[in-house]
Amino acid sequence: MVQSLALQIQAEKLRCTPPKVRTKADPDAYMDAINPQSGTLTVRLGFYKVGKMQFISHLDLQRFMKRAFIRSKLPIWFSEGFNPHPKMVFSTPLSIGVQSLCEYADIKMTAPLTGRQIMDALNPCMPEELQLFCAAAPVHKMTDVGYASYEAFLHHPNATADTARQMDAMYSAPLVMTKHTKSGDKDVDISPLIKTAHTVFDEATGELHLRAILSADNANFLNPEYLIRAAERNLGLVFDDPASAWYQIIRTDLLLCDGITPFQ
Amino acid sequence: MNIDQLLKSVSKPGRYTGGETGQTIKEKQNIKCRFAFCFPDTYEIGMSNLGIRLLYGALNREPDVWCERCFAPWTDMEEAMRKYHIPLWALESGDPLTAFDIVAFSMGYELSYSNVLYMLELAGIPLTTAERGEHDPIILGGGCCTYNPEPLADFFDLFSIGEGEEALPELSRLYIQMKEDGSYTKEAFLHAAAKRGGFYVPSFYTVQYHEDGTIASVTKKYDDIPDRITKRIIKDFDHSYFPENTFMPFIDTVQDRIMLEVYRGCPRGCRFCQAGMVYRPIREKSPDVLARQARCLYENTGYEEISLSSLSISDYTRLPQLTESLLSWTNDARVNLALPSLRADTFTKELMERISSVRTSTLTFAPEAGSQRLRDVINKNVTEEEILRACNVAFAAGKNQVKLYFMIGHPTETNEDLAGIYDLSEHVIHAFYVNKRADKQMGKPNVGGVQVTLSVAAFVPKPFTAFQWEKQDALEVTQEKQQYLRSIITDRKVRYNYHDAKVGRIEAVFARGNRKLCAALIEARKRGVRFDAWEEFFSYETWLDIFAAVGVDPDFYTTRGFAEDEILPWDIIDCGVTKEFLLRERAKAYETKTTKNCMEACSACGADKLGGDETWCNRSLCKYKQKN
Ligand code: SF4
Repeated sequence: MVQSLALQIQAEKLRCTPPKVRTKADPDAYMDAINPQSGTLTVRLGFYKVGKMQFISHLDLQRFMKRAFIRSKLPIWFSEGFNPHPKMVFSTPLSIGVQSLCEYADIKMTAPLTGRQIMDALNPCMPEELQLFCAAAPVHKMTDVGYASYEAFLHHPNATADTARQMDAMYSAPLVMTKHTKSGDKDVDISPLIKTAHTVFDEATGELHLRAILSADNANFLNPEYLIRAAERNLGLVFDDPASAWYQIIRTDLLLCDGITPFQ
Repeated sequence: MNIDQLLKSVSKPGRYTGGETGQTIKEKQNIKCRFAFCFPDTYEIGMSNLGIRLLYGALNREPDVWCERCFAPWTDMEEAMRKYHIPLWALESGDPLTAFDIVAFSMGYELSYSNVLYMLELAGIPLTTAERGEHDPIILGGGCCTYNPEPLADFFDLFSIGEGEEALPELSRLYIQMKEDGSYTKEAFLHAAAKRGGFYVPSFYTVQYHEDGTIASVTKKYDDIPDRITKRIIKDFDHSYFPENTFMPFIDTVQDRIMLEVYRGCPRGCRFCQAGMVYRPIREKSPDVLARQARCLYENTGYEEISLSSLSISDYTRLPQLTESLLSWTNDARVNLALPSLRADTFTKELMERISSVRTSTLTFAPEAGSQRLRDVINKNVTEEEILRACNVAFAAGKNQVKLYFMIGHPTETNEDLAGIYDLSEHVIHAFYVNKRADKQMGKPNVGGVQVTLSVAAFVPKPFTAFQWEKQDALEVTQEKQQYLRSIITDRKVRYNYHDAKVGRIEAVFARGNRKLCAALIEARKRGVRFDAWEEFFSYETWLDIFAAVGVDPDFYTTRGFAEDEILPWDIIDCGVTKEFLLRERAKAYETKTTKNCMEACSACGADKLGGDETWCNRSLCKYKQKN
């Protein structure tokens, strides 16, 4: 399938593992589960958001996607009322500055279509760094998401194989971080939210390569940036210099509460 | 250098990424002229500018020209760029501005001048033409501020005077041709451009001054360049270039919608208004062309709003045809139609019904002066009855917020005129309650209380207006007037906003400035001045210090009345409208006499000599009038 090939290419560019293979829905089969009451059907779009697109906020993305849908002429459903808008529901939040190979959004359509038709219409309306890799009927509920996998590459002139070992130890012991919440700052032990976290030091590039699976359900979402902040605080490696000490984080998958089954 | 890491450390990184839908990317090896279009303000402001969209598209139609965009980086980015020695770059290619052949700035506001120097410095380009060499980019200026280009004369190699959709592609063709035939030197290129007309090369003109600081004479370097530079206009507006596809910002900007330019110019002739003079003659686009362009833009962008933009939209002769053909599909497509520049005298129930889909509950009018006498002085031909009638239409349709724009400091103004501003708002409030009583009797739903917002600016005398010779009120006088108005407004349904008089004073210095202000701008750069148009950065005291340091007296440009026989700094530019006409208008202002607008009668302003189809000047529109 062409689109999963594009996903493969993006993953290779970012040097990380692509999302797990899903049970493939036939891209040429019509999704005709139209709700007889509302006259709409819900389509789940899987897309990646990488490169420059990591700097586009959630609100900006919603506005952009709405306009892309209009350009695509796909039959999207609009809410009634004074300020009609298409209804889009996004999966797990993604902060600015984090790339993702595995995002999902649900949108309502008013006519049955195939996954391929949707991708062929919408992808040309979006930049190269924001493309659908699938469009299919939802399998899980949005709230079924339990975990997200991440990969991070950290550059620091003082990073060594020892640093990697220290990081592994740090992420598996209790780790108290100040979390910014709506009701003020709170000190929380984030270690229960880290399912796995393993770092290797790449001698060739001098980089630390972190792979982690973090809690991503609604109530216990852990922003991967906390892992970087913890390394900065506990190991004294500050990643704030575009010339020598920098990092990048990529979300590589969304998983259910068992931490294994891919969300789709 | 990891640019992503840099972007993570600044606010609104989406300002700096480029990569928007609709941007133009070209293969560098096919390009013979690289053009950087700079806007001396933030991305959000610049991307809202219709001019950039037009010129970007017009230049990129040339296969061997590549026009890119560049905006003023916010101060957090400035800090990062200086720290890591990153020169200012263009968004599309990411290449530094020094890699470009032509770097153009569009200036729409005098307070953005300090940002031009800020951007040049961040790009590592020497500020003045004298310091720049053969291999530095050519610095080109344009935009409505450059009808008086003199305060910027030392920094720009040349200015494009007037409308650029045709002039700028021609200029890049000239550049390419001279590079190819080997005749190119910077001097030869500028000379060739100057000879064509429409381009002003300040270094080719030397200004001599009298002892009192006024201009004695201007001498030319070459005999074959014009004495005065006549502005360029698009003659056939229907067939002029219009971008049917356009770049769309990812992040929220000020004007993130389709802007449909319905006509250029303004038939009205308010005596303080620069735009109303320098964009003459009026040129209309036909409704068919507009409807097609709107549809095309909608399909290419997916925008949810179309804004009909013009200086005074209700003066468009074929507005009913246009709105009808747009409304035939916009409602179904859930596209909102906005008419932002309505005049009270032409605001009718029919028009209101047409745009009833507008979501806002606010209606905006600009009476500009509080009394009929003063409105006659400024030639704002609108009466209190017309304003109240327009408000009534709006109130009857359920609106309950009115915004009124005024300007204080007009010539001949007295406290009575100021009190008139408040009286007018009280009359509007009264009209609302009369309406409400009627509504109640008819059983219509209650719309709540009324709110009148007064937005009061201070008069800035501008070049090419009938008031270009006038004194600006002294700072203290303006502040007293603002306070007087504050003291008489007692009704809490009236909200009173006024502009900082200090900003208006600095604006006036540069609006009517001469070449002596170049030194002030250089000094301002030394002191790190930038983003003057932003309240949090504007410092009046810094500007006073700068003027003192370079020996410039701000009173010379503000509270001094300019003599009618004085050579004005902007006399070098011919914008069509003649000095004789402006003098006639000035005399009539003092006699409290109004002048008819172009639709009623031609007052021989002189702009007709520039030509142009579909203008009032040649009365070709009359055939449409008869049909209506
Ligand atoms: S020449 Fe007459 S009609 Fe034309 S713009 Fe001037 S005043 Fe108006």
